[in-house]
Amino acid sequence: MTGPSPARLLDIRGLRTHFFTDRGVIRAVDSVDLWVDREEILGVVGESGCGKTVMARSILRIVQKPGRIVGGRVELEGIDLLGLSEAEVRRIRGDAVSMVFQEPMVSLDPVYHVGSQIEEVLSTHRPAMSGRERRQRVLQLLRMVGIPSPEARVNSFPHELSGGMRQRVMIAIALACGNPRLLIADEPTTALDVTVQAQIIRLFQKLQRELGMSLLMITHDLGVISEIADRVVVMYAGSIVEQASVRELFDRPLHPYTRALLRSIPNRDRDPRKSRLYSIAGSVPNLLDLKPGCKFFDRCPHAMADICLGTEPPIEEAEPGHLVRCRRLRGIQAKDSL
Amino acid sequence: MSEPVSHTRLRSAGLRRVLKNNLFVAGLILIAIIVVAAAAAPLLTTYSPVTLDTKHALLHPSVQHPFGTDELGRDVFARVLFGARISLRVGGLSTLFTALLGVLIGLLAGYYSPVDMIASRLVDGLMIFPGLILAIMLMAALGPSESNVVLAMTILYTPRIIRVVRGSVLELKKLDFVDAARVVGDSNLRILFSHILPNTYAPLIVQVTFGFAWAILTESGMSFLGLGTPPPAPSWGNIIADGREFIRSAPWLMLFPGAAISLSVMGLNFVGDGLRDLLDPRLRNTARRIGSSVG
Repeated sequence: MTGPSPARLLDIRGLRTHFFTDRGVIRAVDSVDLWVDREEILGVVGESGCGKTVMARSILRIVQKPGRIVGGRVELEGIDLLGLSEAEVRRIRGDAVSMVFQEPMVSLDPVYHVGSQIEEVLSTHRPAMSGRERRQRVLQLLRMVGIPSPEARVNSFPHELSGGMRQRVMIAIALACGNPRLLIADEPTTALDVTVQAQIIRLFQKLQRELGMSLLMITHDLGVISEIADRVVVMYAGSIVEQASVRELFDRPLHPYTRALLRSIPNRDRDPRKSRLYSIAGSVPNLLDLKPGCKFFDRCPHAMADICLGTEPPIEEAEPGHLVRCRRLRGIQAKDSL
Repeated sequence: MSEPVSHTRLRSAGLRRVLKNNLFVAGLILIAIIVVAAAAAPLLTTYSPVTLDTKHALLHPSVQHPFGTDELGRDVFARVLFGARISLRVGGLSTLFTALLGVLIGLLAGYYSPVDMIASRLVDGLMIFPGLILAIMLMAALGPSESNVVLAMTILYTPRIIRVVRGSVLELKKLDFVDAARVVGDSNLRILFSHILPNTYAPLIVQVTFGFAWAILTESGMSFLGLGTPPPAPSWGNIIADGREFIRSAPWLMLFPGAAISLSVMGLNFVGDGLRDLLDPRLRNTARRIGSSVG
């Protein structure tokens, strides 16, 4: 890379994104602190509705109404994206930072050839490029994301492609400008067949290495995370409850929610006839009437009202580089060592 | 490889589907005949639509006068032919203005809620009135002239287009491809005009076609009432209005312009219905999927 640049690419501090509905304020992202290092793959996991997507959209400032970013900083290479004008953010979107969505079936405009949709990004961000150069680049991109016979596919309409192919096109669009520093992938494989999922994950891995970019991978699939992430952030009800390196998190999960998530992965070694698949009791709390205190209280097997309720537990370093938001941590660790 | 093959097959599959829609083809042929007849009117008849010839008044249809003559001896065939020019011109112009205005306001209203507040209330206000009543009010205020007819039609039909476009935009702007466009740095205007607008074309084209038919019908109605194109210009509505007194003795005075109105409105409705079927994305996708060899 060029010059002595600090390791940290993206630094999110105290990000709060709230939704102002008729029934009250939903704090979808509630004081999130998170960072992504250069050339790192950060996994963000959590159940549906825990704020992962809203957090990711906040980075690029594309939160939909009635949501609004109400506070915090999102620094990319030291520049606070939240302080930029709309026109300045537009220059960053699709160039330095891009995003790939969950549903490749509806993420492409149905009325244009896929080739022209990739070209459009180039004409927005690289106006100096000639038409010829752009078309060359489109073919190169399609080849890069592994689309067979790109010369024929440039003129395909989205509906003529399979889901996996469309997701590859979405990735090509996201990387079109050639100098991505951060790619945000919001559950990019959820809507795909299992076999295709693996291919797309491998493609992400390959591109991340080749382009030297960072990847923020949002998913509720812990298998995907364990396979590609360097570091993992676990979100619950708008807050980060645990973050650690991927090994540390899978080997020694500390937060009761993380533990429950890991226990809910089907295990081939266990006999399914003898042991039922574990599921976390209850569901993500209604963000409209959260009790003050730990958000996981209602579903937590270690919950103790006098300790856990009142104020939200702070996030603390349990081991070097392993942060956990739980006041019962000592008690749980003590129980583990028994 | 198989790619070019699948593409030609795809195109011919689409064409086959168009041709299989009999009513659509019939409508197109009807409209084509009327447009050609209007364009070639001076070549198809030697009579003037306005020159009086009282010696030959109220003649039966004959080889000389295929549609007969009216009470002032004018050739009805010539009048219907030249009337087609007026009907198509009024219909075409008002449709054009309607589409331009309706698309612009509809897009903005669907995309920006403050615009929507104002535009939708205006649309509601205009749509409260039955079409012809409002047309009569407008024409009474503006005075009869061809350009005022176009103006009145535009005011009357634009709200419908606004509604159709606005509805589509409200639906489209929530789709992921709009977000995807935003994520790569597109501005609001770019998203609105190059991503949302092309996706509204299907319902828009259908609505515009029906608008054309409606404009022809309403123009005739207003001319019949004496509020449209002022005589002696031969508008279809005028010809019928003139022939009203002679319906017993000379029914051809009303029959032929009436038939012209019916056929053109029917043709446009066939085309509109056909387009609705052909442009239906679900039907189109199945046809394409069958037509292409993508696995």
